[in-house]
Amino acid sequence: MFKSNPSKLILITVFVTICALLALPKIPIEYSHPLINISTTIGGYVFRIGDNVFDFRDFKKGLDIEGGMKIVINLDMSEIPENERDSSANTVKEIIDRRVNLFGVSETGSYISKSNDTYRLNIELPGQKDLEGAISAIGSTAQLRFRVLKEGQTWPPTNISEQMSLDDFFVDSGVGGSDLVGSEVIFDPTTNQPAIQLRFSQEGRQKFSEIVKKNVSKPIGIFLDNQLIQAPTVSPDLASGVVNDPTITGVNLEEAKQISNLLKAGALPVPIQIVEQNIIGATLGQDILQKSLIAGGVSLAIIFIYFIFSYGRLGFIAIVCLLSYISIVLAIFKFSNILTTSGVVLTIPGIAGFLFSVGVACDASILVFERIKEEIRWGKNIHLAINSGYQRAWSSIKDSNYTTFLASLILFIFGTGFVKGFALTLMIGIVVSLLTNVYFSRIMTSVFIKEYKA
Amino acid sequence: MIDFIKYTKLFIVVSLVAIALGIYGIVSYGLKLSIEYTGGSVISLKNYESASSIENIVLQKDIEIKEINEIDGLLTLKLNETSNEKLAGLQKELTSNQVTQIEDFEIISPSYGAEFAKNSLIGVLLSLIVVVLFMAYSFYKVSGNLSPWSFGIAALVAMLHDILITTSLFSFLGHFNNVEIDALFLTAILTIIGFSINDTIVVFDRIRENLNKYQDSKSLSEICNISIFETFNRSLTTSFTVVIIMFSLFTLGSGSIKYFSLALVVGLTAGTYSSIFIATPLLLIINKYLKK
Repeated sequence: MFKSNPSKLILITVFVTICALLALPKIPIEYSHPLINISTTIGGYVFRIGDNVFDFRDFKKGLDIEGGMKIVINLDMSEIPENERDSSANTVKEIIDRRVNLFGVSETGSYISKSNDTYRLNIELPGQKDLEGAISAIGSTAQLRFRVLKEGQTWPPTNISEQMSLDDFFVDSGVGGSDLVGSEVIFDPTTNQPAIQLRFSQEGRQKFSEIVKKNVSKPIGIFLDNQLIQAPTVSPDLASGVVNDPTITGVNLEEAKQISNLLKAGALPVPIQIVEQNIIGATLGQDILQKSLIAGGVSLAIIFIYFIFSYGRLGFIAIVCLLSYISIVLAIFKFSNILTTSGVVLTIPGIAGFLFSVGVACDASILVFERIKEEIRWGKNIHLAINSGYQRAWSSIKDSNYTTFLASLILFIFGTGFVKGFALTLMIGIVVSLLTNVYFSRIMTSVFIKEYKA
Repeated sequence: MIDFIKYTKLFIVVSLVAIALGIYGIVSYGLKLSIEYTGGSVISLKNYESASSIENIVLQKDIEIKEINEIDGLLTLKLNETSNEKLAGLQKELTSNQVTQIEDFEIISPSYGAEFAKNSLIGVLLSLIVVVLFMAYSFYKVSGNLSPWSFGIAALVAMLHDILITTSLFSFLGHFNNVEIDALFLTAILTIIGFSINDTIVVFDRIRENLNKYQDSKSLSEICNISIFETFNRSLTTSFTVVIIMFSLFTLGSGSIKYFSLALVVGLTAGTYSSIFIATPLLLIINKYLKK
């Protein structure tokens, strides 16, 4: 027999109240009366503990609600050995984040998605509308390569035919942007012209000097994004001497600054290609958000009335459980973004999924209370009926929720993009609904239906 | 007590007719896929002079228009796949000289959409297999002469029934109302899968309980009938609560969310119907074959 346990109830009440306060947005409370004057706010709290800031002011909203831009980039990993692909993808992310920051967007969200062998970088720029600018910041990047002359070719070419491309003359040397540690704009001491001084890593310098020594009196092509910038000829005295880090000359100051900035932001280790670009207006999303809130409110009101009508006192308990459910889930949504960088983001499918999970949470209560009604019909007193109602209903609640949880887990592991988000929302919902609508509700009935002896 | 099992044939015929109609729809009208799956671009514009002037600008850029829509001063153009340069040119032209104001601009490459669809499908299929296995496991110790596999398979068929009905409705909506199958539709299908399994398991769980209770006194079909009857109230109440949420979203919502909630209203209703009238009779039929 389940014992009535008021102290547990108090603990739960405190917990749910905290969750509800964290879930609430900032709401001003103003009340003025000749005797009492209240002017305060609740919800939307920000805490500081040590150096950590816990910001509960708002949910993290997806682009489809807040508006902004989204750009998806495909990373071509065909040239990268398999065990280095993850780190290369992270390098690309870091570099592009820096580039986008240079572009002047402060609050970006970017994440890598990997499915099978395809790596993608998703860049979200909330509140931004200048797609062209963003793409040029991201895409007009400098993929720096050093190429050497092909066997049997001369440069500059002696006879050019229309069909010939640069690829017919130059072949990659294996040294490129990923071997650099930095670059800066300098002025050539003899000519006073601006130039870009490249700085190799130790390993890069070694590779470069080997190539230089193999190509004495031949040109080495410096390519930025497959465009030949210049092809200086290696002077013969370098064959035995020390090879300095190269400079790029023949550029004006503006170009030098731009190229150097791009190189400083880092040259991308892999070629990239834009596969999706969106500008999303905020008006549509806000409209849908507002209407979803109204729809949720209206249907909750109808469900509450129905609960009281059909379960009486137990109906009130179901309502309290449902409100606890909503508070806890929303608090988790906010909290997940404080703890991790990839927390629950409120998107339109996410909101729809959440509303649906409210319905599923109701189901647990309905299963229990229908069962209790049945047990009463079979002649048990309310006390026994409540007891066996929870016991018997648990078996079907357990099986159905475990199955849905398992299915969501698989979707979470294998799905991409919003399917993943949807599965995560559903999993959180299942766990919380078991807590509120089975455990909490059991404790509540045991305390409140005590004196109800038939 | 209503004898549900007696009318098994009627319920199955009703479902078969609905499915046949649905297959007719899918075969003859196909499914209208959104650019999330096919690739292409969508532009939404505000503050423009006239739809035809915008149309001219687009056509001048040598870009094919798939569809053009005008709702509440918002012009939405769906464009076939084209080069990024052309689209950049179009964007420049539309924003220069204050021709119009771009509200939404979406470009998706076709391979991306196809891959997204493939990944989602793999996820769904894997989770279905897991569901059947899990059900076989949790109904393994069921008493009586029931094969544990029959529970999983019956639940699976009931769920496919719900998905098929929802999908085929969208082939009709696509043909007659230009409604597209988008990423939200996939969310709806995932939701319907979850709900359908949930609903069916509750009925099957009661069958399991009643098998223990009435093992020696009642026949299998009688036990099934009692179980359906006993869970009837719960099934209706639950789907009432979920459908009411989705129905209010449908009536209030606009755009893609409207059809998302419609898909859910239809799918969840079908799910309730199938868990009551289809899953259990199927359980009996499948069990008969598995036992042979």
